[in-house]
Amino acid sequence: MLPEITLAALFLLVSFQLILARRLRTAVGAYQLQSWLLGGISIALFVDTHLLGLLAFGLLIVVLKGLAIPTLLRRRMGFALTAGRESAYYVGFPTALLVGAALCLAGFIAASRIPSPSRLLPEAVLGIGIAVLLLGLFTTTARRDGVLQMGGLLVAENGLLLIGLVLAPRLSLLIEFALVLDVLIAVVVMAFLLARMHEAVASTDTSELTRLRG
Amino acid sequence: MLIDVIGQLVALLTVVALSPLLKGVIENCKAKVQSRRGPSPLQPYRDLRKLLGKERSATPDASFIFRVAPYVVFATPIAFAVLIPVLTAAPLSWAFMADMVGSGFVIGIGGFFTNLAAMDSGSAYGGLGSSRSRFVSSLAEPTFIVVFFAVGFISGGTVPFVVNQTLFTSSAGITPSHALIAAAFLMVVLAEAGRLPIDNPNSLQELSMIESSRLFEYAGPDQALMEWGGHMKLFVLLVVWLNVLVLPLGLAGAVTIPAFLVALATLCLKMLAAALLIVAIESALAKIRILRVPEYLGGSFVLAFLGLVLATLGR
Repeated sequence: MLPEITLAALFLLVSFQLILARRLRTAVGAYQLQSWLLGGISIALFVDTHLLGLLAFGLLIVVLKGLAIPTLLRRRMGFALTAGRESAYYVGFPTALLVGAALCLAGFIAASRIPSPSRLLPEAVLGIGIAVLLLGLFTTTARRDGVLQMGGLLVAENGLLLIGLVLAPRLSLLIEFALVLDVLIAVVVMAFLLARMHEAVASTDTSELTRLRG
Repeated sequence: MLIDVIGQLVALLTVVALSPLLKGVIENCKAKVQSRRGPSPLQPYRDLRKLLGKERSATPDASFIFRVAPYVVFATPIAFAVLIPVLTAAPLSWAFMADMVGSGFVIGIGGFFTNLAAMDSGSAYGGLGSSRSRFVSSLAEPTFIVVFFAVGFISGGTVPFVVNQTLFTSSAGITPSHALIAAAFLMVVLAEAGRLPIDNPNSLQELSMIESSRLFEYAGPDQALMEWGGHMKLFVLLVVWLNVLVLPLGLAGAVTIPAFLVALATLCLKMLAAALLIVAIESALAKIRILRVPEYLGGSFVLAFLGLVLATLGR
């Protein structure tokens, strides 16, 4: 179980990199690394249990979330990648770190209350999944920049998949396939919207959206 | 009893004698990385000898604190070294005088007196450096405390020798919480010892320096003691990191000459590895802006906190 827990701990750490991200480059890098780790957890679990579905799931995540989506983001969001500016935020970085620590604690406490008789992974991994979900959602609210908000949403989704991996590791491959492909569509749509927004108002700062009038 | 005292003295002499070498090796390797030839690793010894040979001088406006501080700064890392496993795995007779929190206080006295002395001389830079170093230390404190809590939870004790024993016999491999705590501790050690990315130890540019501005008014033997104390502080903090948290391998089980030689050799190797790690960190990172220090130390706090959470809740 040790490789899974270690990978999961790294998975959690990488989401803190997202919280501290000032640029899209960092956010996409964090997301990519996190996806590789998620795939790694699934494959490590396959090595332990020999459930073929887990291997397929792990490979699917590595290919789609570890390669396809980051590449797509880097291509589509070229304007935000090269900008290299400091993004605007509602919650400052040191405060965000402390809030993140509190969210992790909340995640672990929540995990200890969730009964899951059929799980293959220890409770710590479930706690990490919930914590990453909360951290991702927190990032979407704490950052003003649309690009980083999308990063938060993607990381939250990674956390959700990890929760799924703990609670329902024997899920049918078809459903998992649908789940992961769903994200790809979402990323395409969000990237498209952000690119349009950048074209129209030359910024992806969502706080400006309130000034739009029809 | 006598043999214990001898073992203790050897450990303390190791700290006193080898700490300038650590500084010299770091400087030399850093220069090599920057394609310079660099000063010899023995340069800090020559500097200390030169400074110790000069006459004492102090500003007439300063009080006795200014004259006393160098001795305190020199003595505190030595007192600290009594409490930690420098060469032996088994606790020596004085090791139970204080636990990790207590030894944190001991090492804090040195910083406290440096600050008082820096302000005492009335130099503007001294006050600036004191204020900044307090800022950094007050932010490093929570991490230290959480690290102590975490190792206390894992090992059931906070005396460094006990921690060192139980941390490595209780678990087979390195657990994530253990790794997180070790990483967090290294981050605060670098901050406390005035290394990059918090403070550039080679910088003499007034507006950016922290540590060197506190020693600005010292000259001659006093400066030598202050600098030597600084070298020893980095050395003992790294000893805690290496021998208590990361790799206790090679520590002597009993006070015998062969065991001590092995312990000394492994300590030198571990220190070399730590020096190379510091060189890598300092070559890769730039000094961060002073207002971003809370982010760095907040990060170390979060690492330690996650380690604590994983160790207690995530079983």
